[in-house]
Amino acid sequence: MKKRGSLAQQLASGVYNPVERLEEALYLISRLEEEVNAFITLLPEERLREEAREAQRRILEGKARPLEGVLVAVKDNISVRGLRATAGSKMLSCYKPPYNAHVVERLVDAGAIIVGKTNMDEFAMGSTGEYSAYGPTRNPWDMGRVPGGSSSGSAAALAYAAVDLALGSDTGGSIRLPAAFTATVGLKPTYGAVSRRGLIPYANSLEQIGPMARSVRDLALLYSVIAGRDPLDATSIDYQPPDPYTLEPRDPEAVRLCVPEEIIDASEAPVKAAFEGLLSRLEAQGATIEYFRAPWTSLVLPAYYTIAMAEAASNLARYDGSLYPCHDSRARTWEELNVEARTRLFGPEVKRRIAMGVLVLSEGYRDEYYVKAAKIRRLVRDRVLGIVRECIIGQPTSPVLPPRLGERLGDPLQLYALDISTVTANLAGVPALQLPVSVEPLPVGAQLMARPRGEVDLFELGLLVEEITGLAGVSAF
Amino acid sequence: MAVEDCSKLLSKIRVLARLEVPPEDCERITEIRGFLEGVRRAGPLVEGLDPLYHVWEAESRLRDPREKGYGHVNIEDLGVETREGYVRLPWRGRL
Repeated sequence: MKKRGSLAQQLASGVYNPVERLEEALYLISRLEEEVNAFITLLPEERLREEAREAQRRILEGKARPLEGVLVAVKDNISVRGLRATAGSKMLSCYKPPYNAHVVERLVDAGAIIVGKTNMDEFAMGSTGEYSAYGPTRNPWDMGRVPGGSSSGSAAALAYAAVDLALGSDTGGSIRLPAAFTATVGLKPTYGAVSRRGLIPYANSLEQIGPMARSVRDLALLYSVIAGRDPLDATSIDYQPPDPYTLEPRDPEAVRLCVPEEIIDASEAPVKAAFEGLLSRLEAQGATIEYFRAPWTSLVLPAYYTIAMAEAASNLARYDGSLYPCHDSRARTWEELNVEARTRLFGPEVKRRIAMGVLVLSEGYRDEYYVKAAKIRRLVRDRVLGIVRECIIGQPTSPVLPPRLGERLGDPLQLYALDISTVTANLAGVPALQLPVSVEPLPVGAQLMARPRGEVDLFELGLLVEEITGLAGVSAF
Repeated sequence: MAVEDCSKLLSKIRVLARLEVPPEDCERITEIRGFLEGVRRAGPLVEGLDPLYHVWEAESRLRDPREKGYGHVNIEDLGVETREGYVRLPWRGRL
């Protein structure tokens, strides 16, 4: 384990040196990337060095922008002009977007250096990072274990310090789960707070692009750059993210944390012990901890997966073999091409989710599945909004420690069960922050959920938690 | 689910989803269907709730006919709108 300094602090004090940091990152990449497999695309070293020199020049001239020369990784379902965006799928193996995602435009304008596009579960459908057409990603904390998914590469790249910030996307925990398994920090923003323009869609009403980092303040810095209204995304909201440099840890006596008993009961012993250890330390400092019953917990996974699969079936209908083509085909008709391309180029989990998605939307099933799931979403949203008006919800991010590679691959239901703690925030549209609470023997994370637009509450409480755990800025290498 | 039922299901999937799921995936598909049936357990908890809702309902520009909510842009020049319009969501007759 290595303790790294705060990026935000280095930037603010002017000691950040992009040229030196890039050389360290390139060394770590050359040493570890082959085994970790965090990136699908890496930019050429010479181009990165040129950008780092230019950033250094701007810093010396006093013209530094908010992320001048900062090394950032971008998940491969987020568009960067001219760089391949595969979304972890063979279907898009040749696709190079002709435009930047809104968040990428903001990164570029802020002076960030995009190091590469990160590995992910195909079309963000997975919780372990093993369902990528480009091979599984390994967890830098234990190479025999998964890093979590679907933003597996972004989390792993942070955990081995190949980059200092990363972008992920979160449909049902795809930022928070990998952050929990790699002792990093990740945020699923308030729905609409970050533009989704340029994100290859999976389930529009649930997903958000979000920041990942190794500390809460660094995460808040990235968030301050990417969040805010985008007139070209009709679901984006008017929103001003908090200033990362004025955030202070919350006074423990002003903390009221509400803990759902069902999630604690569903967590395995080491996770429960690490999380309850944090609660005890917060309580000892004066925080108020309250437990509550959440009887809807048993409904959230089937409701989430019904909605996500339905939206996936609709979104992925566009991949018919005629768009984004780069494969040989013997098909004689469009119909043949369509079935052949989808059967051959989608992976097994994507096919399963599309299949179930079309079924739950089909005549005779819609009322029994989709409409009921939509009503459950309404129920969850109403109940959660009622709670987060009064307190911050706290719970373990994952019910288990990072699984071994292959352990959950054979059984999709075991895979879906990993999301029990995370999908609620997506159903309710509220922000959720994951941060590490322990790294021994393996990383364990805590998730905090707040009111819509309540990211500032999460950051302040997160800073307090970091003071308690001492885990701000840790990496595996 | 019986084998013949599953083969019917796979035929339906081929037509609706335009992809072939291998017969050996029948067991998985059946398990997932059983898992999704969990939504039926909601019972009285969701009685009377409106399913036609979006998480951004309260703030949506989609729901405000007074404000421009949709535009056509040139993909090579995203800052420039070439045509303006409004999104129509007829499902509640509010617009």
